[in-house]
Amino acid sequence: MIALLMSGLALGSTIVLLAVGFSIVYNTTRVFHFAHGFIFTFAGYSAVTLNVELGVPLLLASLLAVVPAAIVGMACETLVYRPMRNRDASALSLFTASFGILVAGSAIIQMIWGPTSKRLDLPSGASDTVAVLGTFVTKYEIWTIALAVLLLVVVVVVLNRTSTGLFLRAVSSNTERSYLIGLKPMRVYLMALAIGSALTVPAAVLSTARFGIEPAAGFRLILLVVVAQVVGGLGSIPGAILASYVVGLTATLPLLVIDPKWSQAVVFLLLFLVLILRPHGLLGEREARRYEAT
Amino acid sequence: MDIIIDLLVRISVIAILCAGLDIVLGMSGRFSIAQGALFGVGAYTSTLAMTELAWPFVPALVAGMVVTAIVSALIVPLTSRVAHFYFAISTLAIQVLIVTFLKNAQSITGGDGGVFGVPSIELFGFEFRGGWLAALSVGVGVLILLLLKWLRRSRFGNVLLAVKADEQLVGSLGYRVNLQVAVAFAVNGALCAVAGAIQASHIQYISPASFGIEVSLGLLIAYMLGGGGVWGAVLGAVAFGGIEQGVLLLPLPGSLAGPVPQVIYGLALVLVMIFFPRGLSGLIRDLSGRRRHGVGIPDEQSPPTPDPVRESRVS
Repeated sequence: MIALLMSGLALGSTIVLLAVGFSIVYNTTRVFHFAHGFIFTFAGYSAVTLNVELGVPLLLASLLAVVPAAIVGMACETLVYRPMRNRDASALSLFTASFGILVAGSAIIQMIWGPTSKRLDLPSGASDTVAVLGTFVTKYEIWTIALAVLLLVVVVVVLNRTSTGLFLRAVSSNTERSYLIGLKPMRVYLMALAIGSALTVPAAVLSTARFGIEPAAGFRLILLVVVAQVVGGLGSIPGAILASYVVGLTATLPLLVIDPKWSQAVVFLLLFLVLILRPHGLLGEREARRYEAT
Repeated sequence: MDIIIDLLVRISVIAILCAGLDIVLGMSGRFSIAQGALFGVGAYTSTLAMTELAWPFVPALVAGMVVTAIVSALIVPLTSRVAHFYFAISTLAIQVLIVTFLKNAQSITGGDGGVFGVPSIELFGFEFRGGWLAALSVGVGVLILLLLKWLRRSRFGNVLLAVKADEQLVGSLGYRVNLQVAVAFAVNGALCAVAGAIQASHIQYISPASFGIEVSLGLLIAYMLGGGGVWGAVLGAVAFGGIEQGVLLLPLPGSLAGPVPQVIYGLALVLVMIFFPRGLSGLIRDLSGRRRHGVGIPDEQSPPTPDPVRESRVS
């Protein structure tokens, strides 16, 4: 029970780091950034290459991995989203293109790094277990949970207390008017992609440390992130945080009573129920309602 | 020869599924990510009717069409409160739930292992195999595309196109929008079942893995590449099926056989979305010098709209 609770919270923590980045990107650019899953996988492999092949210590490798992740994230914006926006592409075209990046990117990763799972070079004793409330949990689960909370606090402070956060929120709330006060939305979009992509790195490193990483890892995870987004209300950051943990726990806690093979179904059933009962998500704005929308 | 047969059957199956997508996405504006699962429901129902109940092919196909049409139509009331991205993600949930069922309901579907020895299509005592099956599937594909062409010009088709352009307006004219869309989904379901039956009898084996989310998304890629409409379905199917089967001919090491087509589809999709948002059919129309209008999810006949798919907000 406690073990499942902890692994649920750890899964939720991995999801939440991606979901918050996804929200930041969605709020500013209005792109349904499926490619976020690819950036997660890419960040994981970058850390593995730095750590295992180049022998960089794990902590430094994780910090350095932010650079390639942010560059790829910003490349999505400059190479794909921006030209499309300039041609007045519809939101669903952007959604489709972003999905194309996810498919192609995951496949390119498989071509470069091969289909098998890769592991990090972990310091000895790192995967020890500790006793928590009578059961044993791995240190990584505790690390993942703690780091996610820490980073969430940082993100919330950055969004609410710094000029960067102010720019992001200004562009989110009204892109046209942010032009008028001298902001450059295009630059803010890049900033959002860079921050969102950077947030995938800790999630990717910790997840790689626990399970290793494979080319399809980001694809599977982004599905859960998207569920968390929709359950929480698209673009709502508090909603994304709440829903990420709800999704993490929904994926693990039912394992007490049901066969693991149904666990994915339970998550999507949850999504379905939320959409029927609260179509705009738990904490979302009412934008999703069909008739209020137009 | 076998390669050509595989290619023709595959292209026909994809074209039929794209025609179905054209009805729900291109005409009604519903971005459905459940096509792979519906394809699976059709393939499983008709196959199980033949293997477990020993029904002949025709009743089995009809059963598959009816069951899949019902499942497909049920998507509409289940998602009637959501639109746009939320709708897309709801259909994703339906996709996952259906495939999980196919995987786990072992007593009915055979579970992960799938069903072996799917019987060949048999009509009036004639068994369609090899070249005949290819000819049959191409014939059925052409018939379905003609049906789509007719549907796009019919009164019902016009109502659907109007639903895509302005749902509230259609509602205010006295049409029951959800009912019209549910019928569109039912037609799509029946088409998915036809495609499923052809695919199952061709490779004589079905398993949940052939109907997963990658399949749904791959079909959307084929549809978007094509650009919607009758010719879009043809072009998308030829492009997608051609890449898929063409890559098998290349002397690639096994490790690259999986990712190479995915890289090609993925990048092709991104490039098409950037440069020719109306897909290959739109590109050809532009090259042939006809007027161009509207950017976004491609559409053949409806008048230009700012955004053909129901846009909830672009702040």
